Amino acid sequence: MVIAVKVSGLTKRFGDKIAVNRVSFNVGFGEIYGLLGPNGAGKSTLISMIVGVIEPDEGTIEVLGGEIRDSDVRSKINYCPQNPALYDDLTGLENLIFYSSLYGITGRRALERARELIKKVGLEEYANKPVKIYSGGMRKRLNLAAALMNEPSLLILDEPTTGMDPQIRREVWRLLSEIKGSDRAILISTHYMDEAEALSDRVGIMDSGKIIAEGKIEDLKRNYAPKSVISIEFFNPNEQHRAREELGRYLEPKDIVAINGSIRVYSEDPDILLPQISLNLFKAGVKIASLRVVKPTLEDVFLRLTGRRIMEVEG
Amino acid sequence: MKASVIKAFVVKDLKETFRDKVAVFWMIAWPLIWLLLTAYIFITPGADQPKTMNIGIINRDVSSSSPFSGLILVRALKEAEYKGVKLFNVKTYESEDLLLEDIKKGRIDAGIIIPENFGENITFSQTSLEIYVGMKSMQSAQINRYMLERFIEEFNRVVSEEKIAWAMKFIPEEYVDPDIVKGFLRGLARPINTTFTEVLPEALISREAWIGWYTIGAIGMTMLYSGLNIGSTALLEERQKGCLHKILASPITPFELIFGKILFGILSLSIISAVIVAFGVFVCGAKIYWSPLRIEHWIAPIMLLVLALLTLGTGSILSLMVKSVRGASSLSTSLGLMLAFLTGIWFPREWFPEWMRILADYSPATWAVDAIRKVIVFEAGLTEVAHHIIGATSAALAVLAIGVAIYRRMLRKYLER
Repeated sequence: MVIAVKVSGLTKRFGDKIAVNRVSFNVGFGEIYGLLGPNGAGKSTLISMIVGVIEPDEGTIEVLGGEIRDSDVRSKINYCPQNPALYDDLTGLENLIFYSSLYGITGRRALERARELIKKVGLEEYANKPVKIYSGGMRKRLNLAAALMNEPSLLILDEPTTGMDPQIRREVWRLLSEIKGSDRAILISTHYMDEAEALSDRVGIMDSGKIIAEGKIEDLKRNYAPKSVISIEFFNPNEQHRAREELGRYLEPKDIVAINGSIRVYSEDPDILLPQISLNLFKAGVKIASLRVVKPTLEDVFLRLTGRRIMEVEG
Repeated sequence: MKASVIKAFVVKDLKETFRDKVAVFWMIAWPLIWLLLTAYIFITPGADQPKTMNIGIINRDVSSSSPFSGLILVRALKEAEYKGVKLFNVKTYESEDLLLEDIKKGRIDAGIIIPENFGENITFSQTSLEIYVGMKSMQSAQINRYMLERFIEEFNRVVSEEKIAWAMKFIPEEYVDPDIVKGFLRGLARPINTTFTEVLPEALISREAWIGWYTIGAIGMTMLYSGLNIGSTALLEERQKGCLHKILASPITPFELIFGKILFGILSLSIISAVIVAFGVFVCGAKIYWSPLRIEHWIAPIMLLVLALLTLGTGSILSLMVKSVRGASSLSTSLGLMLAFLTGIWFPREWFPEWMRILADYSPATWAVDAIRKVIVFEAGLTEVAHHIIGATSAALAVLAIGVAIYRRMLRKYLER
């Protein structure tokens, strides 16, 4: 794999707080690398250093074989910030043309590229309307289009789908999968497990400024998650508390996790445990809507590694 | 430095600014409203015409048989003109009480009581006149008194000449040279022959020139608050819109960003200045001299550029003190308007008390505005404004250098937050 980004021992402090702590990882051409972690984990600071707007205190960054300060290198990358960087009084097309000018793409070439991208992100009808009338999802899509204007070899996306509704998120995922290619590397930060799983070839899990685990998703699950997960759902979410008490009589507390009104039980031997849970909860009078064995997710990996859920950290 | 990048910032910022109705109001409509009000309310049509005084007369010398009587004085008052304008509206009174009451109530500006035997006394010795001047305001009292003094002085001169001519009839020409006698008698009658010569600047006399003065004032005023505003919000706005990181992640340099912002400021202020001049000349009737063939007239656009740089640079210094675009706008608008009033840009500094003139005397913005006024309103030459040009340009370059350094510092600060 040809390396597009090589980060070694990167550290950034803000006063006493260490925002990024000796982080090292590589992103190769042809892959999407996901930086997964809760808000405040240091993802945005790490990205700001990679795109060259913040100076690291320690460590090195090699981008496309060169220094990020080099304008030739910068002209081959692009960055899509978490909050859409758009001008409300300009139209969608004007926003794209402005950003392309910063990369030396002007005139007819810029206009054609802007039209092509605006069509690709499904905003053709709104191309000549001021951005102030755009919805949140439309802004996110235009923000993404702006990051594609220079056909970057390295595309860096900071939380690209935060705040989007599920349908538009999937639309953006489809778009990102489309633009993925052997001549392009994509670095994406997210706190959505499903997003990381859906898009990333490799994932770096960040917490408190450090990458605590890194690798292909299957490898991470194999190494850090339990063999299987028993998911218990209830008709009445209030039953969750009673079920947890009941399960606590014979299971380790670390193997029982309550999520969104359901319970996940980590087990190495679900064939034995599943009938036992079913019988005991029935005897205790807990009404269950479903009881099934599911595959572990990245959420389970994060839980196992930190003892917390990503959303809990977000508050 | 890439021209396409600078152009991109300028075009983007111009579109954003001129599509924002609030910005357009403050940058263009507000100074135009001021100029219009000043042209048609404060400098009313006819403001450059002589004033006509309403004057009351009690003539107690109606039956005099002497060559000079009170009636002659009344007629002279009624006929007095200055530049084709009648100087006095004369109303005759019978009672002194009524005359004084009308002065007190402001119905007339002054009253003259011509005593009995006025004509006889003026013929054979001296006479006196009692004059009451209304004190509606210090300024009007001063003007009214000055007008009456000038009139009485002229009347005295005419009477003296008549008396000398009359006296000469009794002096035989064979004994004394009549011209020597006339000169002697003139000396007796009017020992000091005062001659008033008006040396007002020709351009200021006309209403059009006054409006020209205020047109440049309107440019100065809007440059102050708009320049400060653009300078103080240039980077804050990008940061508040969330675009600063994205811009600086592109191949542009911080200097290109800063230069683009300054160029946008200069262009916006130039557009505003052009609109104000056009409005002043074509709507308000301002008189402005400008010919591209006159080298000294090029001082005006150069000084406008200097003024723009000065205000943009000062605006960048203000950005150190504010945390939001709203805060920066409020500070720069209030400070800009205040300075426009206090530094002789909007009101002539001659109107200020002495202590307040210091601010105007040492304000580089006022030097730039004064240089423009002197050249294109009063047709002054290069040498007359050289000190203003040197002072304003040096100050602008110094402030701009500080401004660029502050911008670079602010960029680092904003990015690390």
